[in-house]
Amino acid sequence: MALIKTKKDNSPITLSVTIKYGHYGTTTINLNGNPIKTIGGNFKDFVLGTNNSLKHNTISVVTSVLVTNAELNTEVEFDVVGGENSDKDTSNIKADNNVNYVPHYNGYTFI
Amino acid sequence: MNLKTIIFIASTLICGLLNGQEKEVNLNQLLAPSSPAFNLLGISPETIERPTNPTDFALSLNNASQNLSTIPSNYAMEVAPFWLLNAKKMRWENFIGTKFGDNIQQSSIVSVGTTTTLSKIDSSKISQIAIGFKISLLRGKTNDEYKTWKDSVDKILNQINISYQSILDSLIKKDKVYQELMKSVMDSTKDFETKQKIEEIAKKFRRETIEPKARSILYLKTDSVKNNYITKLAKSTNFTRVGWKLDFAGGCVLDFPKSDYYYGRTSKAALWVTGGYDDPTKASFFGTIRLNSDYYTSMINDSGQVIPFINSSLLNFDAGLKLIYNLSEKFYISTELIIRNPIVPNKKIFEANQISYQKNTERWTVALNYNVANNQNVSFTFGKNFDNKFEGKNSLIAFLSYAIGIGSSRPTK
Repeated sequence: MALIKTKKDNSPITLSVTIKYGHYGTTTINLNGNPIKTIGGNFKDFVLGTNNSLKHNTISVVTSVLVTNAELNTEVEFDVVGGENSDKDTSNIKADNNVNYVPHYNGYTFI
Repeated sequence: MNLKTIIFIASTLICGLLNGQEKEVNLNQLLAPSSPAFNLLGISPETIERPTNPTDFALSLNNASQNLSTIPSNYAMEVAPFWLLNAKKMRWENFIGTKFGDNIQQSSIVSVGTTTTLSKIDSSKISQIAIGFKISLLRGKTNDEYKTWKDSVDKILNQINISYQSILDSLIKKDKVYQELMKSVMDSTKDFETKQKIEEIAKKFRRETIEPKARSILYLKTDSVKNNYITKLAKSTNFTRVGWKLDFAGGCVLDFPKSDYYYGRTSKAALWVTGGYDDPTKASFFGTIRLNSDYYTSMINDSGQVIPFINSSLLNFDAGLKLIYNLSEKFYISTELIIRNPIVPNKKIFEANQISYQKNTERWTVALNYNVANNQNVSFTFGKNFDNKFEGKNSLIAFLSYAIGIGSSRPTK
């Protein structure tokens, strides 16, 4: 779980997800283990909440990539901005030959 | 005997009698080919050994050319340069979008092929190498088919996400090493930088140890029906596109008489432009322009004599227009017109040596097509064919044909 230090205000903290190699994927965002949003494809600056509202909470993100072309490498970039610190992280997993989907995970603890 | 059977038998018989008609040029042959290099060589990709990856290609090329000591025959390669050099930066939105830059990135193809032919003059062996390219400048927009696909994928991947999260949470809770690391991360006595460093170690451990286990469990728990469904969705991305389309293609052929590099020369070059509005469910119209140049060092004249050192070009300018209108789901009418304008820069040389060449001519047809069943089509075609090269006589086109498709189509992106 990446640590994000929150600001003492109501400014937004956002998440961007970029799926590389031209594949398609769907992202599920969970707040304290409960799904709050599902987004198909790449997206930028989805508001997870305000700094004050996210303090002492955890966000986990699962992006399942559907392997839609001959490239078996799958890579997802998770980018959280808006807190005292930001977090940009890349998950890279090569798909097995006989499986056409790969789940990628990242998590954030807001302190 | 029902109507379909009668049509089938009659049309099969007529097809047999009119077999020669198949060799005539029609609009489909003028359209920008997907592999211009193969088209210029007059060979279909199916006759070429097609490697599955660059390593296979290098190996087969090496074997075929006797350790690269000769030019190989009948080998071909297609490359999508942007995908080859820039795959990581490709985005789904580029693939599905209609922006000009995306179209070029997604559709550019470079093809290279080789074949061997015999000289019509002295039957000596000529190695040919062709290089071609194709770009779709406009590709049209995806229709409801894509929306349906996206809804289905989102639904199934969302289920996968929930299952994976549950499996991962369970493994994380049981993993003592990870739990200890996370305890240290949350230790209030440590400063933020130290916590972040420990968190990096914990993430690395999770990615390398826990997540692979979670994926294995997920794949084992997902039943074969669901797996097959996901595979089907992953391979169904050749979406129908509706709207304005514009393709540009070109290529050239280099001849190497006697397979000798030093005799190499350009023998053929061609450019294609095809564009129009395409709605496969309603109506489509498109036009095509092809400029084709053949260069001859020597020729055979009308009396069968070899005329050496002629060094002349024959150019063909073809323009075509095709309209397709769907009267119902199974019945459609189509019409096409092709105008052929040969351009002979050195007419005097041809006439002095009694070498005849094609004059301006045109071909038009009207066709009624009926899909009898899946992959089975009956069509009635009426029209005028190209004038005969030597006698200039018009020929009537009027025939029934029956076409049956076997095998499966190869999806392209």
